[in-house]
Amino acid sequence: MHKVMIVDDEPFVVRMLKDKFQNAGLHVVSASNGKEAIELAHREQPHLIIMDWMMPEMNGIDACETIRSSPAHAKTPIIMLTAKGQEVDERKGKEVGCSHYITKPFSPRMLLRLVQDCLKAS
Amino acid sequence: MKPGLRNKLSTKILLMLITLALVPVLLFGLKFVKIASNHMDKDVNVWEKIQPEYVEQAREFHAGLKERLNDEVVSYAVYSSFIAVIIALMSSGILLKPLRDLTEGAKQLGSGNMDFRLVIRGGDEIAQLARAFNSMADSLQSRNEELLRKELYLDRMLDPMWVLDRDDRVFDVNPAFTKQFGYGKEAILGKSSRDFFDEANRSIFDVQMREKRGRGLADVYEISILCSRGKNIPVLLSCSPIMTNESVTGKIGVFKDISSRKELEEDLFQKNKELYALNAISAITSRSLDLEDILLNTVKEVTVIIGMDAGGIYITNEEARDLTCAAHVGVPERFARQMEHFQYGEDIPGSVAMSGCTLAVSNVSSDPRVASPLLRGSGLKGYLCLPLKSKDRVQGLLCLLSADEHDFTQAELEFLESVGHIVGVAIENIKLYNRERSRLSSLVSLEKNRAETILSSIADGVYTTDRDLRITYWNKAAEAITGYPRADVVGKLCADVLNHEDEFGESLCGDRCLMKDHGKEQIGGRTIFCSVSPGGKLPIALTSAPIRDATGEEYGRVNVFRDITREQEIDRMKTDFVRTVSHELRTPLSAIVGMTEMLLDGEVRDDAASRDYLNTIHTEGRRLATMVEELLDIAKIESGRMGMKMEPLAFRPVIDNCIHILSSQAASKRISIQCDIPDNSPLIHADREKFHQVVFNLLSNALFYSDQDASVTISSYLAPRSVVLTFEDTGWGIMEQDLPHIFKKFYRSRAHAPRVKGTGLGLPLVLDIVKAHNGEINVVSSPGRGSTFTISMPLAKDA
Repeated sequence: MHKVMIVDDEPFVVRMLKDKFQNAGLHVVSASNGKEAIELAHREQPHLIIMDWMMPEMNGIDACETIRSSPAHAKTPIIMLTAKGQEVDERKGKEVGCSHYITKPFSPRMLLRLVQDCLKAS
Repeated sequence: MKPGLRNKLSTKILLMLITLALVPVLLFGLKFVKIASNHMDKDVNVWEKIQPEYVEQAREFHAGLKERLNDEVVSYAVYSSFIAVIIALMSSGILLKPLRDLTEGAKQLGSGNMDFRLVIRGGDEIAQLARAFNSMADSLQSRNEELLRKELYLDRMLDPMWVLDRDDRVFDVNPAFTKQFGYGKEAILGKSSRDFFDEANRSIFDVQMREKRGRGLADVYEISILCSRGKNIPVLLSCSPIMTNESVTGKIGVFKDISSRKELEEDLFQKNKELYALNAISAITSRSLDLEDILLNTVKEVTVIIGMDAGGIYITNEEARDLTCAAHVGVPERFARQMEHFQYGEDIPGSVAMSGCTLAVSNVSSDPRVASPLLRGSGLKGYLCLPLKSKDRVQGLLCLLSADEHDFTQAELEFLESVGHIVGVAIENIKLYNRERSRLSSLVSLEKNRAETILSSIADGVYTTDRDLRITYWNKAAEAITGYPRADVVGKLCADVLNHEDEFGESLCGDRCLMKDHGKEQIGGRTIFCSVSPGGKLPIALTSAPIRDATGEEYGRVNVFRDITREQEIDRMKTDFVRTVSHELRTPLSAIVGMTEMLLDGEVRDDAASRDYLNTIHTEGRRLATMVEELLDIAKIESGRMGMKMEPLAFRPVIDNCIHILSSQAASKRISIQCDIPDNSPLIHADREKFHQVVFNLLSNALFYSDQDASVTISSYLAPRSVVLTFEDTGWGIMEQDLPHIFKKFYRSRAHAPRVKGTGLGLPLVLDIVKAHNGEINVVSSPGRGSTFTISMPLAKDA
C-alpha cells in the first residue's frame, strides 16, 4: 500500500486529505510544520509528500529542499499545496525540487487523481 | 570817252551793232576786194599772155575798179554804220526802257518802296522779266513784312535777347535786354559779350563758349549777368548758334531772369535743411534711450541749422522745481558752469520754464527784456530760450546764443518749435521709461526672489539643464535629496552628477537619456535610480519637460524629481497586502470548497464526520465573512471614506455592553473581566459603533490570548484633553519580536503553536479607528505575564 505524507498546519486540510486518501486506499501520515515533516519523512519513508508552504517552525519550501537533498527522497514526488499562488512562488517551488505545484483552494478529487497518477508513475 | 558814256547800255548796243554792221561789210568788202584784186591780177596775167598791149589799159581799168570798189566799201561801211547807229538808237530805246524801268524798280525796292511794280507789256522775254521782277518784288515785300513782324515780336519779347557776331561781340539786342539789364542798344553794339559778366561768371561764360565753339550746338545754362547798375542778376541763358554754310557766323542768346526762382530755391534749400534736421532729430530721439546722447546731438544740429554759435539744453525737475543743463555745445567752460543750474523763476531760463513762452532776442544788449547781468556782460548778441514741451508741460529748455545779432525769422521759430516739441516728448518719454524701468527691475527682482523662494520651498528636487545637458539650476530640495550642494553641481554634465540608471543597473545616459526625447512634452513615470552623495543610489520619480523660448525652440529642460523610497515601500506593502489578503482568503475558501466537494462526493462516511465537516465549513465561512467585513472597514478608514458619526459618547455603557456580549466566551475559559470605570465619567468625542468595535476587539483579544482562569481589567483615567482607557490582561503576553508587528494587517505571531483563528485584522482595525479619532494606542507586554493595551480618546467638546 502506498504511503502518503500530508504536511499542513491547518488541521482541516489534513483531515480532509486524510479522509479522501484513506477512502481511496492510501495510507496517510501527517505533520504540521516543516521540521516535523523532515523527521516524519525520514521515519516513514512515504511514497509521496504533499507539502504546504506557510507553516510555523519551518516552512514548506525549506522542508522540501531538505527532503529532496536526502538520497532516499531524491525521486519522491513532492506536491506543493499552498495558497501562495504567484508565478514567482511556483518558480521557487520548482526550484527547490517540488514535482507539482497546486494552489489553494483546490479540489480534493483532482488532487487524489494527481496523487494516484504520480504513484503509478514512480 | 566820258566814264558815264562808257557805262551806258546804248553805247554798248551801238558799238555792238556797229561792229555787227561793219565787220561783215568790211570783211566781205575786203574779201570781195581781194577776190576782185586776185581776178584782176589774173586778168592782167591773162591779158599779158593774150594781148599784152591791153595790160596797161587793164591795169588802169583795174585801178579805177579798185578805187571804185574801195569807195563803195567805205560808203557801205559808212551807210551800215549810220544805219547801225539809227538801229541802235531805236532799239536801245526799246531795250533801254524796260531796263530803265527795271532799274527804277530796283531802286524803288532798294529804297524801301515795296509797292513798286513794273507795268507788263506784251508777253516776250522782257515782259517775262518784268513779271519775274514783279513777283520778286512781291516776295520781297512779304519777306519784308515778315521781317517787320518778327522785329515786332523781338521788340515785344519780354525776355532779353542778344545776337553776337562771329567774334562774340554784341551785334544786336532787343528792347527787353535794355529794359532788364539797363544797357542801351547803341551803347553796347560791338562790345565784347564777356564784359557783361563779373569775374566769377566770366569763367563760366568762357567755358561755355569754348565748349560750344565751332560745334554748332545749342545749350542752356545758368549764369549771372551784370546789369548796368552793377547788380548781378541770375539768369538762364539759352544760346544757339547762327549757321551760314556750315559755319558759325554768330550766336543768339535768350535770357530768362531766374532771380525769383533762385530765391525760392534758396528758401526751399533752407527749408529742406531744416526738415532734414528735424528728421535727424526725430530719428535720434526715437532711436536712442540715452538722454545725453539725444540732447547733445539735437543741440548740435539745431545750433548749426539756425546758424548760431553755441547752444544748450536744460532738463526740468518738477519736484525740485529747478533745471539743469544736460548738454551744451560751443559754450566755454567757465560760462557753462555759471549757466549750469537755475531755479524756477530764476533768470531767463527759470522764467521761461515757468511761463512756457519762447524768448527770442536779436541783440541782448539793446533788448530791455534781458535783465540778466550774466547775459548782458557776456558779449553775446543773439539769444533764444525755447521751452521743450510735451502736452503743455515744460520738460526742458533749449537755449541758443550767437556772437552776432540774429534776427530770428518766423520760419526759424516755427522750426525750433517743432524741434522743441520732438525733444520735449522725447525727454518726457525717457523720464517715464527710466521710471518704469526701475519699477520693472524692482518688480523683476521681486519676481525672481519669489520664484527662487518658491523653488527653494518645493519639496521636490528641481533642476534645469541646457542644450548640452549641463546643469544650470539646482534647487534646495535637490540638494537635500541628493546631498550634492548647488555649487558642486551647476555647470557640470547631468550624466556626471546624477548618473541615472534603470532598475537593472543599466545607465540611462547617452542614447537612452530621457531628456533627449524631444518629441515628447513630458517624460517620466519610470523608476529611475540616481546617484547620491556620499554614495549609493536612490529611487526617484523623474518628470522632464522642455523649456521653450519665444519661437518655440527648446533651449533646455526643467526636471522635477522626488525620492520615492517611501512610495516604493508603500507599493511593496500594498503588493504584500494584496498577496496576503488573497492568501488569507484562500485558506478558509479551501476548507469550504474542498469539504463541500468531499461531502457531495460521499467521501464523508459517518454523521459525526459530516457534522465536523459542516462545522468547519460554517466556521471558515464566517471567518471569511468577518475578514471581508474587517478588510472593508480598514479600507474605508484608510481611504478616508469611512463616515464617522461623532457624538459626545458615554463610554462606560459601551464597555459594559461588550463585556456582556463576550461574557459566555469569558465564562468558558473562566476568565474574569473587571471594569474600574466611574459612573460619572466625562463624555468622549467618538463614533459609537466604531468605539464599540475597538473595545470589542481589544476585549476579545484579551480573552483569546489567555489561558484558563486569567483575568482582564478595564480602567480609565482623565488626561488634559482626553480619556485614557487601559485593557490589562494576564494572558500569554506578546513576544518581543512580535511587538512591533502586532498592528500590521494579517500579522499573526508564529510563536503560538496552535494557530489562533483570528483574522489578523483585529488590532489593525483598532489602530485605524483610534487614529481616526485623533487618539493614540499603546501596548506594553511581558510574555507569559500578560499585556496592557492603552488607548486615549479625545474628550467631547463641551465636557
